[in-house]
Amino acid sequence: MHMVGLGLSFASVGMFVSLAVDIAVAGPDHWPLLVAALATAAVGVLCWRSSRVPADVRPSAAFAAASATWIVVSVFGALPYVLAGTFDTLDSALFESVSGFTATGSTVLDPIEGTGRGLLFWRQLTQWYGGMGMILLAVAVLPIFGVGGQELLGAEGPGPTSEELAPRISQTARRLWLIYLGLTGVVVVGLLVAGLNLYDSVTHALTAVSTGGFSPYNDSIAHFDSVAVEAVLMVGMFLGATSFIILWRVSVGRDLRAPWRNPEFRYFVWVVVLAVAVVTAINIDSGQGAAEALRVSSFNVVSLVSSTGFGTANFVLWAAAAQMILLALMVTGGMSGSTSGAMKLFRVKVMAQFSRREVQRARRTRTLVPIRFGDDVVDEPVVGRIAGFVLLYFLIVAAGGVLVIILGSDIVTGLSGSVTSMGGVGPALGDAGPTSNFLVFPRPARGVLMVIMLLGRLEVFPMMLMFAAIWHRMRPGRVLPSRA
Amino acid sequence: MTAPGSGFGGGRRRLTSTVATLVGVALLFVAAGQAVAGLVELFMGGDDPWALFFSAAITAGVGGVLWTVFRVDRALSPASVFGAVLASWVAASMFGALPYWLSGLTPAVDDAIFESVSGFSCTGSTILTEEQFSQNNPGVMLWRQMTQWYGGMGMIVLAVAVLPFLGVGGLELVRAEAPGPSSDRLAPRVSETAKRLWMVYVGFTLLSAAALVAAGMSLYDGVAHSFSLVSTGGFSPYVESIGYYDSVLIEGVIIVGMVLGAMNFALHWRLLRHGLRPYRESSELRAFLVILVSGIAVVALINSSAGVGADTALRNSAFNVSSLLTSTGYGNASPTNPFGDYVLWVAGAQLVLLSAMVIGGMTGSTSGGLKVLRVTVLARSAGREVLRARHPRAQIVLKEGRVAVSDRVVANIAGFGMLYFLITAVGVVVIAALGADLVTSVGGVVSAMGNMGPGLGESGPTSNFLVYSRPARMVLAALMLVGRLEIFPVMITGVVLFRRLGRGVRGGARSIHAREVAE
Repeated sequence: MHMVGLGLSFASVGMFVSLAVDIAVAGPDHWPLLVAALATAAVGVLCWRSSRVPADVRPSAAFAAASATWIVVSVFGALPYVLAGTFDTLDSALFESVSGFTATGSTVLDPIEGTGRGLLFWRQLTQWYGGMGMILLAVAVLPIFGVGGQELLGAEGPGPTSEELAPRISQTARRLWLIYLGLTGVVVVGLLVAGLNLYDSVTHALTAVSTGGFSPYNDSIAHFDSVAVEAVLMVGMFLGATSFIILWRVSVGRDLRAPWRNPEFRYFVWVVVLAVAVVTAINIDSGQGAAEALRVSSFNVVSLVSSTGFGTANFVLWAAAAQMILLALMVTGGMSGSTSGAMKLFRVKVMAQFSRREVQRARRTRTLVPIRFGDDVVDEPVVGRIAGFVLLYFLIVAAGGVLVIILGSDIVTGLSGSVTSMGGVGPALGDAGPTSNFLVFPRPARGVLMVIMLLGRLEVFPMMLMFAAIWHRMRPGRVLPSRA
Repeated sequence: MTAPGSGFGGGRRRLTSTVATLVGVALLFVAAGQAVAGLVELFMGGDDPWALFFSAAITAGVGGVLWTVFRVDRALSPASVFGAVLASWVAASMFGALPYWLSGLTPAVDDAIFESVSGFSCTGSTILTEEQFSQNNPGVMLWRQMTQWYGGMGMIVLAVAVLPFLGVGGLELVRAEAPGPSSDRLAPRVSETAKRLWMVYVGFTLLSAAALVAAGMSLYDGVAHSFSLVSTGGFSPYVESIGYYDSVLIEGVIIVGMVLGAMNFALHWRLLRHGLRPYRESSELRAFLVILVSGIAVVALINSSAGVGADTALRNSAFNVSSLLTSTGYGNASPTNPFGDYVLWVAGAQLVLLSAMVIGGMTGSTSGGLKVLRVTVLARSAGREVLRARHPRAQIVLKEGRVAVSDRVVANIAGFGMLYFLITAVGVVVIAALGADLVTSVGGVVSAMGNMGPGLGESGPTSNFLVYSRPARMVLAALMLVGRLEIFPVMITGVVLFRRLGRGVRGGARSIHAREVAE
């Protein structure tokens, strides 16, 4: 309850800011934004003041709080769209809001330019908030409870190693959000230098560092057709998909070697460089000029591996092999402790070693080979947990794909839609490519994708636990008690 | 691995090499089959009996020499067993390709090899065109069916007697779930198991041939189809596959045969002694039947809601789900029953079929895919992770039937699953890069890894694998072997060969020396 209130208060501040922007650019949506902001603020402050965090936070309570915050904020975040009449239907407004707060970036807004700029600013801001929440979740909450093997990274957090959760989270949050703000500022300046106006710079910076991928333009980044803008955004996306702990070390700790000591970062760089090289080669092979191929390949690879989803080219038209690689990148995602989505590279790396070990074991049945992550040996239970996470991830993607396809999409569109929602990327393949939008999915399918976005964003477990808890409570026939 | 050892033992002047001996035995079997097919070609008035006799002679020559010169190494290491298994499959496929090539059925060598690998791995993907199917080669076509029968024969021994004892991909679980009919030491176990299971296998083949003839096939057709039925291979001497007959009765017989073929053969063996009890006790069988029935129900529902008559929907759903879940790959599309071609179904139904291809049949059978046992263990361990996140300190034991599954086995299975998907994903990228669209590449790779036969998209049941480019077909043939041998044998042999090459002459000499000392 406390968390929800806090989340809503933040959201209402955002709406006021959007209102200010709307007034500044003389947009048409003063009233919807004002009403939505007031309503959200009222409910938020009420929740916040009327409750407090209990001293002893159990994992299930923390997970439930995280899930509830995301869901409630998304619902209230849809208010401005509803009040302004942006969408014909309530579910579309909700979809856009969920896609925003999960920093996914899939849209059902068509055409985007038909909407007031103040409201569009709010749309960009939802992603920025989503990224903010994500950093907090990824760095401070999930590692402590060992979700999907996250404790592997928990040890090196920048926060004080206090035993109590609440003070630890708030301190960590303040530090990381400083970095986040700083990074946003840097990208804004970069985009200004690259030649964008203030509004465009700010809106794109908001969705680049949050690896969200909304853009106030229908053709996304292709709107500017500028190499400089793409380069700045690439840096922004790359940093957004880098662990904020590392960014903290580098910027505040002045420890320039910190990234290179981190095995996940090295792996990240390798994956990006390799993918760019292969995709560029495939694109040159299918007839693009070398410079052009390098430009579009590197931008789209970074955009998808960081789970941002900005578009500069319609990669649905690329060769099937290139598309398959892009799909794989949508599954791997960026680093843990960042705003990017999907499985995260440390899990991919541990799983790769895990598979290799099984081959060795089949040959020498009695060998004990520890799995290493950098210089550290990974505990077996952690390996098991990571395997379980990956498994669940694929199960959900597959089940989501089946559902969406049964509800009426073709195979490629349905599966890639499920992958992209789970990874928080944005565009899919097939009919739902970067130049298209998610209106190609039937309405019930969009509902399914919305749920998948939330599941993927919260790293699967919190949502599942919340469902399990609700299920558990409902069974004896009791009313769901409100959580303090 | 293939280098002959130098030990002399037991007074008999035979060199020690497990690999060469096994390859020799396999080739002798292959030669016998080719000779039988030659006789059939001769008596049925086919065009090329001599192609088959020549192949038989060459194969028998090479096999006989290997078999007389070498003997099995008594100290078997897992690596050498894997090497031997892989080598015999590859050798059988190479020599098995001779009849196609010599008879001119497939003038290109690589096409002959593809067809042969597809046969011995019980896959059933073909590159034969309608014109090639209609050539007058009853013996060669029978040989094509026999390759699958041989492949199945090798597979049941591998699956029941070898892999579970080497702990490949968590298969040691099978030992507890469905114990094979034999002792604990590898060499005697293999030969005992082989004898007993082959009895079941041959009996099963005869039964299904009789049933097919009773359902209306000619004797030749009945025998030919029984070969690819019990081995869940899926070759048919007709281009329309089972659709040639357009008979619900024959399709029914074949569904039963496929489902029995995808069950653990150790269960069938124990039927003789213990009656139906082993079937009731097998939790894997229960899961398999649940998957089968629910798969058929879902697909039939989707199809009938897509506007097909209920009986047509049920018939085609039942046939195709069974065919793909058991990794057989027969098709039943015909001009009078065009709806049998599942490529025309709605995407949801096709996706269920694709998942069926990945799941596959039971362990200890001739079917491919991940296998039901692994799928259930994986699903349970995923469920356990959710529980664990809620109760971080809980110790939760996974159970398969009445057997507790150790964490080690779960890890093994998870590793197997990862490798399976990894290889599939890499395969798709490669095939797509070699020039196929996404759906066709995914369908082809999943089909090859799971030893199904038909793919999706352009390579569906009424099409053939000529839609893939030539290099892509070779990649698919390699994937068939990888999938057939449950990944690990191929990878380990690869690793060992690589090490040997890297180590060079000095290391080679040392290992021979070490073996002499051991003798």
